[in-house]
This record gives sequence, structure tokens and C-alpha cells, in this order.
Amino acid sequence: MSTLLNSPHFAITLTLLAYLTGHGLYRITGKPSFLQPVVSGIALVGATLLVLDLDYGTYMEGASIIHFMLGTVTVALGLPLYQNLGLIRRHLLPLMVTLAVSGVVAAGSATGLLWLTGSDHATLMSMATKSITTPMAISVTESIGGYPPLATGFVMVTGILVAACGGPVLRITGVTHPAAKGCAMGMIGHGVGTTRAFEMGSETGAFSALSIGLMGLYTAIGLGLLMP
Amino acid sequence: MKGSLVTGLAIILLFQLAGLALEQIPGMPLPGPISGMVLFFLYLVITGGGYDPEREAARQLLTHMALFYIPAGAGIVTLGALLMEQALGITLALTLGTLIAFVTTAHLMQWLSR
Repeated sequence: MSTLLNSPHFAITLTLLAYLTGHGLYRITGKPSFLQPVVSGIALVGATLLVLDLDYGTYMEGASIIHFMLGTVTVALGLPLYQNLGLIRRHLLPLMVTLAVSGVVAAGSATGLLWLTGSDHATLMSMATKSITTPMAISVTESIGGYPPLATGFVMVTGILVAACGGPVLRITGVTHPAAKGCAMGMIGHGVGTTRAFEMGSETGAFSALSIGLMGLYTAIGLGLLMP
Repeated sequence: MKGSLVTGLAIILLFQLAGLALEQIPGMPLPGPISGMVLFFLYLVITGGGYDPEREAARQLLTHMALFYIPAGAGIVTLGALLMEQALGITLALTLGTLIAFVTTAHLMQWLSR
């Protein structure tokens, strides 16, 4: 039995079933942000490992083919970036200035606050990628010495917070321009924020969608240069 | 699986491989998959949008994007102690840090888009 539970067959099947269950749960509950398929998927795999007392390293080795495909998904992100090229070129200057500031403030404020409370290097590096889309955050955090699982958790919490509180915060602080709303939702809340941005309007959604790739690329280059 | 989907996947994997090759260059600031994304993007720009197989493969991968980060994310089970130890800092960074960045981004973009 334990050879079976430690086999790649178990790891891969468990991952796929957890994802499908998470997806189904998300749909039947009316798509609340906190029930992102990935959140329940990770929770289900984590709970299974704990309940069956299985080693995470062994599971990860078994599921490595799925983890490998994460790189492939990252490459695929070039497609939405290309599809938004027209919008990026029409708003090039405001987008680039906002991006330049936003990336520094997003990574800087989070790591700064964490550093003030006394944290270690690896946790800080895992926090630095909190506003970029998960596949990119995992590759970046891996290359600058953070923990990919921690980075994934931080990215998800950030996205959920933006999706849940972004609308009210924009209203209270008087932000009405669709481009501004979209950039805030997408640059800070990545894909999770973008899902919510599309519900605010198609223009807001489009700006949010293009912000994901821009923020990811900018943060990756910035952290790569700062933390070689 | 349709033949064209395999073709599309092979094309995307070639860009991933090329990104990995670039990663070997000393001083390269970008992780391989992200260089691969840039190369794929440039390819789409040069070819005016690429072709159906790789576009369809990319769409399929992106639709099920969340599946691929479950293995890495599940590693959170090994980090319980760290989370408890730094609970205050992590909570501050995620809430206050996110609020500061969000408000700054929204207002800057609104001001620049007047």
C-alpha cells in the first residue's frame, strides 16, 4: 500500500482530482474569490498528505511532470501579452510610468514591512513576488532563493485580498477611470484580481489583463538584477 | 488529442527550451521560463500572431493554469512553523503592503490618464 501511495501514479492522480474537485467547488458555490480552484486544490492535496502521513518530497517527485509544465504555462503567457499589444501601445507612457512605480512599491512595501518585523532572507524573497502571477512568481522566487510554496501562498492571498477589497477601496479613494482601476487590479492582484476586474467592465478587465504580464516581466527583471 | 495540439505543444516547448538555454548565460537576470515567454511573445509579434496550433495549445494551458501550481503550492504543509513564527510580519506585509501598492497604482494611473 505504501509503495502505491508513494508512486507517481498516486501523486499525479491526486493532483488532477484535487484540481477538478476545486474547480467544481468553485463553480457550484458561485465563484467566490476565496475559493479559487487552486486554493482548494492545494488544500486538498495538503490535507491528503497530512492525513495519510505522506512525505511532501516524495509527492513532489511523483508530480514533477505537472510541476514541469508550469514552465510551459509561463511561456504560454506570451499569448495574452501579444493580444493586448494594441492597448499597451496606445497607453504606453502612463502604463510604463505606473508600472515602474507600482512594481517597486508592491515588492518594496511588502518586503519592507516584513523586514521591519525581523524576517529571514528566504521569506523576504518569497514575499517579493507577491503581486505577480503564480507561474512567474514560482520561477522568480526559485531563482532568487525564496520558497516556491510560500511564494504561491503569498501570491494567492494577495490576489484574493485585491479581488475582495479592490472595488470598495477604489470607490472610497475616488478612482473612477477604467484604466486606473484595471491597472490596480491587475498589477497588484494579478490573475485573481483580473477575474474581478472583468466584472467591473470590459475596459477595466482589459487593462487588468495586460497588467499581469507587464508586472510579471518587470518584477522578474528587477529582482533578477538586484538579487543575482 | 488532436495532432495540431501536439504540434502546438512542441512549439511552445521549443521556446521553453530556448529560454532555458538563455538562462545558462552568465549574468542573465531572467529565469528560463520567463525568457521563453519573451521569445514566444517576440515570435508572435514577428509572425503577426503565429499559427493556430501554438495559439490553441497556449489557450488550453492557460485555461487550466491553476492545475500546474498545485504541486509547488502544496509544499505549504512543510512550512507551518515558519508561518507561525512570522505571522505578524507576513500579515502586515500582505494586508498593509497590498493596500499601499494598490492605492498608489490606481491614483498614479488615474492622474497620468487625465
